[in-house]
Amino acid sequence: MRTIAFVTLALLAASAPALAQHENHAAPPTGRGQAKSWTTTPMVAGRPAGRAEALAMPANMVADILAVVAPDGGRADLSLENGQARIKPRSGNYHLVLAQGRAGDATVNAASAVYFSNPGPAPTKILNDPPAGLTLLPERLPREHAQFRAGEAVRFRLTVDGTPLPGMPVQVETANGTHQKLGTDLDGWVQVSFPADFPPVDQRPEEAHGRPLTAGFVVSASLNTGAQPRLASFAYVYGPNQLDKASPGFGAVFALLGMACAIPLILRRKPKGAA
Amino acid sequence: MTPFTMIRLRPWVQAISFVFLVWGAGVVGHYSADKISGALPALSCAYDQENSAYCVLIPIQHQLHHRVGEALVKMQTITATLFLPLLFTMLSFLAFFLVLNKAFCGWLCPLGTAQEALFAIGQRFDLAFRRVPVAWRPQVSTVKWVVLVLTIFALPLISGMGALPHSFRDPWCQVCPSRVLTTLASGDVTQLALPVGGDLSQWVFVALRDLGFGFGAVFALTFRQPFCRICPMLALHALLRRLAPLRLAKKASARCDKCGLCAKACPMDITAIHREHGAKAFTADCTLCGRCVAFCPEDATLSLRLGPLPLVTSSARSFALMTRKQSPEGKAKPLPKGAA
Repeated sequence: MRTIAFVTLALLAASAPALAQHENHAAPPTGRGQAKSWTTTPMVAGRPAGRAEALAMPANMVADILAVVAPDGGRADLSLENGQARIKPRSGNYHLVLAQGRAGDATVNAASAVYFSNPGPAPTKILNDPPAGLTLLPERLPREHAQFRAGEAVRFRLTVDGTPLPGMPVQVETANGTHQKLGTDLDGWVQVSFPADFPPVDQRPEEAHGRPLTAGFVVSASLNTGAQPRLASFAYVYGPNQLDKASPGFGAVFALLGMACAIPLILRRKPKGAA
Repeated sequence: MTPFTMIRLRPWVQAISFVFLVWGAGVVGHYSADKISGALPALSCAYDQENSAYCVLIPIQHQLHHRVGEALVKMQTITATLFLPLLFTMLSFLAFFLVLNKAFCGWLCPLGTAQEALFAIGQRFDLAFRRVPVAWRPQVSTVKWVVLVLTIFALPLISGMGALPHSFRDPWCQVCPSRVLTTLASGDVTQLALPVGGDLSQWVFVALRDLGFGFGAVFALTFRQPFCRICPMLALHALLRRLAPLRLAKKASARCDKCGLCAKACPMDITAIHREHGAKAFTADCTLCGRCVAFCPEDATLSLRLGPLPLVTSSARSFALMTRKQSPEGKAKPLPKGAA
């Protein structure tokens, strides 16, 4: 009986961190689904749709295959209805969304990610082991309570059947209108610095119920060798720099004020009658 | 292990714990699923992007806000799915708790370690030594319970029900000095930064957080463990301290009334360790740091015990070794001029 109780408690403890993770308030957020309005790059976008569901929406492409890959590597095919597919979490937080299809003459491998408050492993394995074909994936995704931020640099790796592709041009587009052209290094990595292209602070919409302001981005690369051109993309969202609406200097002033208030307390009082 | 060895070992455990909890993401991994726990009963701040674990207080606040509060408003049936995450957070907290009881406060908490380091620096520079006046101690000891009930349970719940702004979803984390300490330690100034415009309550929270951090950072030079006195984690531990096998034990001794070195050594200014015996000597404020055991000159009067097993027991020999290194109040020897 004691053994059972101990094992039960241990299992509960082991599964609790993920269960204890917070709701979609902290999840990488909305702001997707309007891909066509700001880019013509073939892509797939994902966004939360409630506590335990997300939507995947291919854009600028004809998706023949739409699939979701859980952090443990488990893969499930999705079916499109009215241009979008519903995703239920299998295990873990981040799930990769993969869309394979066509855009004009090119074959497309588009990827994105959706986040669930769900117990299970981290997405390290699925980011490190890219699927077959031309693939562009980030080195890491934002942590819980965080998001990619303007000014932050994140590496993406371009691979074909798992082999890095060096010296390839990579294009970055954001929903705020930025276009960048970069190139992969010898190991197939390209470092993307998210641009500070959000509107001025006083022109931004209110953040409702703690949901952060975000904008979509898509990173893409083409490979024109072989019979048919190929294209890979990764779409996700980023947010403005946290310090756009906050001042470390003013914060430091308050901290210094607190310190000044404590200074009289740390000094020794002279004994009564001392000279 | 002797009390002297234990007290010499503790700073090393604290230092390793500090490094691991504040910068340990490189070891355990980047994502929340990689963390060693979302329910570690030590202040390993969830806002620190380089940490290796999360403090239990943040999921408790968020679950009360997101799930319980919202659900009560919607008048939905209160089901297992509603309370399960909260229950699991508490259970995993209890699993850790059963191993070490409140020793997490005294041995692992990064904020506790930083305060101890500051106090040691302050005393090395011969700054004033202050403690809570005896008459005030019951009132000061009550503050942590008020903080626990108000900021961990009540305000997130009320905020989840929509009666308070969303910024009250985790009011303790909004003002917790560990949030500033651990994020600054990992080179992140965003948690120190004061909002410019926007929600007034958010501005007030950050201003209080920065003021409290600054005040405590300097006050800790002269006063032992200032933040621990009001910490809801200490209160959460204290609720359950009798259930865990690790505890402080004290035998009655006739010489205790004359000595009182244990109370002087206590960084939490607990007088009961001097005046009481048995279970009453292990109070809600104790962090199981073991200084009282190390500074007790009586053989086997004070001990840290794991169930019936004594882990560390006071002894005259350890007392002699300890007092050669520092005074019970924490002044390093040789004592600075005029501090005797």
